[in-house]
Amino acid sequence: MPKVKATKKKKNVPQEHTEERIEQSKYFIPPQPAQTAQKQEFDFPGSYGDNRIVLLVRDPHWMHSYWEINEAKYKEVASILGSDINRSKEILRVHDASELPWSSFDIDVFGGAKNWYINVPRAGRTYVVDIGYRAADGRFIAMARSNAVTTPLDGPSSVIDEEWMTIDFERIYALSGGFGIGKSSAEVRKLMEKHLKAQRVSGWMSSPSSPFGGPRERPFFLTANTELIVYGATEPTAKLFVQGKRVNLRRDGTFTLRYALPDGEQVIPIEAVRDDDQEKRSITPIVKRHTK
Amino acid sequence: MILHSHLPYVRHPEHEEFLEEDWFFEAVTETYVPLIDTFENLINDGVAFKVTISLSPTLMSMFCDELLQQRYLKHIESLIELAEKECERTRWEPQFNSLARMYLDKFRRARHVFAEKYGRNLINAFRKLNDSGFVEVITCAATHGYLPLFEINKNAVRAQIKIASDFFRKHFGRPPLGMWLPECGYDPNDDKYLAECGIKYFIVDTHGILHGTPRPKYGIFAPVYCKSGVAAFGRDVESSRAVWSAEEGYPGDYSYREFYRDIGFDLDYDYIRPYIHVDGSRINTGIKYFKITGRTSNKSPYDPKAAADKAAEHAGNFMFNRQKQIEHIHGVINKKPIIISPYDAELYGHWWHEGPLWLDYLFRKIHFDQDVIRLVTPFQYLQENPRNQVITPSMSSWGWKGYSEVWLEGSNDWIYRHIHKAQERMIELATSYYNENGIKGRALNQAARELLLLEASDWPFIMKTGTVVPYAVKRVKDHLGRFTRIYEDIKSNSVDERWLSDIEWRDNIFPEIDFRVYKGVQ
Repeated sequence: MPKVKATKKKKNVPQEHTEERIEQSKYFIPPQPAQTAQKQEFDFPGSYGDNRIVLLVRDPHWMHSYWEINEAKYKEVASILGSDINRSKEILRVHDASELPWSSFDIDVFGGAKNWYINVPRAGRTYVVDIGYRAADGRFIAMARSNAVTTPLDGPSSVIDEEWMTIDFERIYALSGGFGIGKSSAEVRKLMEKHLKAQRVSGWMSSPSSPFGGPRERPFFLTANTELIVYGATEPTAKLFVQGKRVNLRRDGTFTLRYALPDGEQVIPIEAVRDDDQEKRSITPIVKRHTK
Repeated sequence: MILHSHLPYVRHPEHEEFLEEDWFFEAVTETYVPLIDTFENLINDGVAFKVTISLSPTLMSMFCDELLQQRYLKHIESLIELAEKECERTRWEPQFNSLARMYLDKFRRARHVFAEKYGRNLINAFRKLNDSGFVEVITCAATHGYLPLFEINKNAVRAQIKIASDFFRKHFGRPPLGMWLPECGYDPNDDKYLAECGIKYFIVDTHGILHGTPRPKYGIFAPVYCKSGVAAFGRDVESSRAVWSAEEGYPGDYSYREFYRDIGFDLDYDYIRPYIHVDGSRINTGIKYFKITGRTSNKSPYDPKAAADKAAEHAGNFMFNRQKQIEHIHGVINKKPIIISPYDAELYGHWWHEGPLWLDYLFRKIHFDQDVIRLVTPFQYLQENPRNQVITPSMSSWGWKGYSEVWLEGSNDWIYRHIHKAQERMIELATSYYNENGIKGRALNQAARELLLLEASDWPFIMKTGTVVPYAVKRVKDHLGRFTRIYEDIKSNSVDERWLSDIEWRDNIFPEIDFRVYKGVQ
């Protein structure tokens, strides 16, 4: 993504607000600040020297785990396994801890991974994860154990409160929109949000041709408009009227007027009146536009 | 109706020119001022209505911030100037000329409401509306952190809620009656922290209730009590779709104003140059002359009268559908149902130009034209219907797919080990240095601020949607870096006062924060 530099640009037209033109996008990248708040550059630490594994719930069937195993622990495992280490695999042992006895399955983690997405077939269960090494003979040397988490249900609960029982729960569930969960409404909102966020960047990141129609698809197109610039000068202290309306002069007595020019004829009487009202001058250009 | 308003705390005093505070300015001009005006007009006309508005603490902080107030004033004055020029430029094009005048009036009105009427601080407006009894103002977690992914450090979840509640109380005189959990992100038992603050209710997405344990007798048409006593209300799908749907929703109607045709992009470069981004790239100004017209890039000029008529028609349609929906449900469950319709506030006015007008028509119609349904606030419903089923809602959110995937996937999962570590360290600091004051006390408070800013769900959200990822990464890095340095300096007894003052100036959110909130029971 191109970076924007913090330079002040000179403008041709005198403006009161040259600074602080503000980028449209909600989340815009500012340029490098003139003075940084840190003496030295901070970088994300590769590790914190801990020995731990953390489990997070993402949705009814997916969890996410990240871990950090320190050197000392690896050495410990290596000394326990001895030469077996070459035939051992680093694994996650996922325990379903919802009730006793626990059941579990293993996941091989490879490639030096330090996090993993774990898929679980049954929703609404409690899980704990161990990370460790499984030797060829099946021994499991645990290095760390995670916190326990409970995944949400992926449908209505099977627990029914007798005091609040209803005969026709399915109907109420359907009326409540239960069969559209995670779909339609949430999705279109996401779409609208993406549009909203996207349009804020589109200007900044767009090519010189402006994005008519925004992020929607755009067929080949051409637009062309005309404008008319009327400019001139009179005495700085005079009063100027264009089509009967008073117009301000610049300090040096010059003026520039800019109009969108549609089809048709525009008659433009321009009149200057001396400050003591004793003299007048006028010029009336007539401009015609038509489109073939 | 619940309108949820949030902006991340974006304030860069170190930059004069390249600021992305623009979104805040747009929201003020296009959403907040129009909504404030709409509600005040309704009150003045004696229309009985009820609406709930959630303002996030970061947004409220921006309302109060002097620097941003000044910058907004400059911004709106520049827009007024642009609109004046537009009135001149379109003199021979009557259709566009009347639209230019419309925008000029709108910008002048925004300036007046902002500066003169409410003394540059729109919290004054919301306080007044809250006191009127027609608008219930609530808030959300401190920096809009996505709480279900912080469960491993419960004190951090608790702090997000408590700090928000205290901040709200400072501005509104009492704790909020309800809380909008960020993204409706709920994890079972988080409600006990709401109970601790005296908060009476919160909102969850549809399946939060429907998949709760035990089964909800009334589906989402009645609130449920969590074991802590705090009530949970579930979002209604049907009424959401009527407004949110990109295809069938009201905002897509062809006579409504087209968002993507802005003069910032349409007009000649030299003319528009002073009003777009200072580096020369085109941006939206807010002045848009065309209506949606259809699925074509050939847009027709906007006709405000036709659009207003459409808004009235849609308001009537929405009301009619709610009447039918409620009558039907009442027949099925034999109890007066409640329909919860939450929306992002910025939909009204900014994205959907006619939104505030639609709300106005809707509220008037509900008041004058019928007596089948009425508007209520969640708290009011609880007072009128105190007996409700006790349920533990399901973990859920209103994000895409209904759970945590948006904030936990390939683009952003890497941040959590750092956030969790920082949370753990903050809890450690608050516990070990509980009685600290003086400069260490200041550092401890600043550490809390950095942590909160780090925790904003906006950063992982941006990473997922891929809009301006480098900025989000930078924010994560900056806040984590500052936090980590404060942590190390405190532990090694070497807090640098000058550096600390600089950081306090940059990240000045929640001036009265007390770091001790991070100590406490898990």
